Amino acid sequence: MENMKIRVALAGNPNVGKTTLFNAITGSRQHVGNWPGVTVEKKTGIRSYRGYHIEVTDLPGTYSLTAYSLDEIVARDYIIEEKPDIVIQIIDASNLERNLYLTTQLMELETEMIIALNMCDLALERGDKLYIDRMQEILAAPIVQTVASRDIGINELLDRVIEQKYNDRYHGREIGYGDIIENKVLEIEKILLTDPELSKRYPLRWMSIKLLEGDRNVRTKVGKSHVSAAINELLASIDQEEYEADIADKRYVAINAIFPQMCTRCNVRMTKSDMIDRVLTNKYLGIPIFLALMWGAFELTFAFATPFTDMIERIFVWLAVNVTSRLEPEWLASLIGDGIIGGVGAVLTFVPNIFILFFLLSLLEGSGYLARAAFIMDRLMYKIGMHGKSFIPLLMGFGCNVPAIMATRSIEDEKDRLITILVVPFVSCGARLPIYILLAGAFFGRQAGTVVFFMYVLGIVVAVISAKLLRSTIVKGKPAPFIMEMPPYRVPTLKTSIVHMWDNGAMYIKKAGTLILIGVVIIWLLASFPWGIEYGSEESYVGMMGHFFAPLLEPLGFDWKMTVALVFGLVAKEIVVASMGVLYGAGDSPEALTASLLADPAVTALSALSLMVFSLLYMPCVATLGVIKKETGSWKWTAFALAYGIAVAWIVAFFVYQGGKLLGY
Amino acid sequence: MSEITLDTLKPGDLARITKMRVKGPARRKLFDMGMVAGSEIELVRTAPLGDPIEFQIKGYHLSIRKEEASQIFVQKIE
Amino acid sequence: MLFALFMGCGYILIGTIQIIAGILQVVSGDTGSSYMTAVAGALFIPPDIVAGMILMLIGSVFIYGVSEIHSGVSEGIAYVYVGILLSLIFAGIYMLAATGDFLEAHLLNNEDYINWSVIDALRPEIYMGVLSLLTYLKWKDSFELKKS
Repeated sequence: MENMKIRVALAGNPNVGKTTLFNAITGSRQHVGNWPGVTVEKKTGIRSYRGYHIEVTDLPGTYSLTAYSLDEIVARDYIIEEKPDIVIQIIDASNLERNLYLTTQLMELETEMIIALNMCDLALERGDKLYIDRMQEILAAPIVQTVASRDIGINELLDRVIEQKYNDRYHGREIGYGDIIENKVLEIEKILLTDPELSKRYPLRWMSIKLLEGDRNVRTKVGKSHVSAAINELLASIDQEEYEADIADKRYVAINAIFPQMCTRCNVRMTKSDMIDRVLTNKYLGIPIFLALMWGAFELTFAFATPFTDMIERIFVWLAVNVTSRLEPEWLASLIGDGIIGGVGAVLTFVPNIFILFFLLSLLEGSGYLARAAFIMDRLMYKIGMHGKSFIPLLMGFGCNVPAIMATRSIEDEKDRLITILVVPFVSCGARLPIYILLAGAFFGRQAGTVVFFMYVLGIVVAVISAKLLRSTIVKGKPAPFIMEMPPYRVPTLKTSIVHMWDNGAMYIKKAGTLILIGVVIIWLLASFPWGIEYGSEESYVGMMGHFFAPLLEPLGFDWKMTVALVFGLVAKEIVVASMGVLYGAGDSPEALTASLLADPAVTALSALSLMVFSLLYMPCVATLGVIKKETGSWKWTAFALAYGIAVAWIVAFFVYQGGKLLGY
Repeated sequence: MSEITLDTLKPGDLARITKMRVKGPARRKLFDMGMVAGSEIELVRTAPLGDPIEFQIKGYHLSIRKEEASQIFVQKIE
Repeated sequence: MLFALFMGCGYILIGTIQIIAGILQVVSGDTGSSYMTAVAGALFIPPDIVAGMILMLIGSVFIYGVSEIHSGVSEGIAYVYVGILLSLIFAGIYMLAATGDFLEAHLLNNEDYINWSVIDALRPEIYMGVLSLLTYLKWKDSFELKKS
């Protein structure tokens, strides 16, 4: 049975359709997780084909296999440590020259390779002529033409995989680096051979070349061996920088030599993609168009999600009424009704919004516009200490912080990513809107709209200032260099977008849902005990907590009731309004709640404003914290986000309230 | 033929890279993306706000900031 | 191209009307029984400042293309192409929004939507979008270009 199992790894540049191919091979039998110890996503899948059990691992998309980014290290470590049977490199046929760079590096890893030549249709459209047979000969590896988005060539690819595993024809090609470098390679190889364990474990030539390039990761691998000193001595005698440049150079020289034999370009037509690009990055029209499209995306999200949101709301209301009224004993009814259905329901009503957000994000990415968004916005982002790639996650924060933070995965530089993650929670998400609507509507009448708008602006301002602050203190340094490929515009595959939407959305529901469920139950417990008191009243633990924290929040203008509501809001900001309904004895009706708020002397317009500011800025909801933990992989930063949020919220709300009082409000 | 830096080109100009004087992690990344001495490069456009700049190299489009471009030396091809 | 000129002007005109109507509505409360509102009503233009600006933007894209073609830059046709694309995208957005409204009205019997009918959903973005789609289908092939 073991003989029927084949382990395959998928490698390739970003934007070549690797994910699409992965989906085409494995269908729905996929599993997404993390590479151990790092925050890089690992995707594996299974395919049964002709009686064989094929296990596919999707390696991160990389342009090269250096040690400079986590993605690359993960990819190459998998190949040399886990030693898959076959490595399929997916090459974008319309971009052959640059893709070959990765090929040369993969071949140095001395692994069995098959090349999937994807997107042949685009290349033909552009007028390229490809000579497949010559390619196979020159690269000494089997080549299969595929159009992954249309499921073309998949079976042939799998056939080759099976064929390759069980016979041994092709072997891949080596590149010669010229006499000077090759001599040094031989010297290093000689030294390395004196450590049999090391030289057996990793491909010999590869190690030598990497050492000459100054690869830190390989240096570390060698550092543990007794030959380390000799290697260090040799490397100290050469100009590493020059060797690095030279080696890269020689790779391209080699590619330049073989490339024209594989592909010739006919008249370079101005492709549709170039045409579109002219307009979308036009000096005057580019930004307005971008803004219009973003606005359109949000309009769409809200307009189209509303019926689904309403549907979900109705279901939960129905559940609450019917289920709880038939439940005995009363405490159980309350737990399920007020607690679970109320709390979880409030959050799940956001699910349609989130799914649509993910879908649109996937469309943006698949069409190639995402890269242009970063390109257009980079200058602005750089000025506030962030990278162009951070713009879209920030923008998504207006919908919901959770998908926004998940979207930061595309930011390679760790520091840039961290800052973006820490700053996104200040962007006013959709869940905070009901709070504004309630309070602004009650206390500000005709100016309500302006007040709400002000909240959104405040969020952005705090985010920007925080970014600059973090850059100059805790996360020092400048944003990573902007080096981005601008892929050609394409029509995004509907299937892939839906798959993305589903994957990400499901992850959200699972993660956020669990955390929120736990949070809601805890809050319910605190609100219902000690035994026998009225739910959420002053005598409950929650009420006690409210009174306990109240002095801390008094300078901000909050009384114990508002404090309690904020505590509830820790779980999810959607719950704040509902809990206020309970606390002020107004039940479910917004009008009643507005009335009781206005009637309560402790609540003034100023304190309402202060409350809005505080709920805007204070800690991210549990779901967001959960995602922060997952994406940063560190409790330290999650705790920091929590503390920082509360601190900033307190300070700003303080200024608002006290400042307002000083001014005579 | 004098050497100029990449960021001084105008849209539509064609040039050949002569020296890469970029330092730090950007250097390696640029090599990987095909910015090596001897490569042909064409300036396609600048972003609406002035930075970054989009180039065509090795058959695809790559954008980098002026900062990095000013450390890459090229010779114009007429 | 005549088409681009027509579209360009059309969009800008409607965009302007929409903006003015939008501003009027915000400034003077709900209904103004002015000449402008009547015109807007006839052309199915709901008062909406942002949407009006977007219409003007699409119009400018077309006009920009016209000016490029007029001064001999044949690549200017790209602007017409993208103009059509944008009009289609926004038409699509509003149609989906209308679907949302439809679901609200009929599936959910939401009280806000009692008197809603499909006609209410009609707006310039949609019919202009349809117009550009038809034109595109007719002149599809002229969008290929050869560069030297």
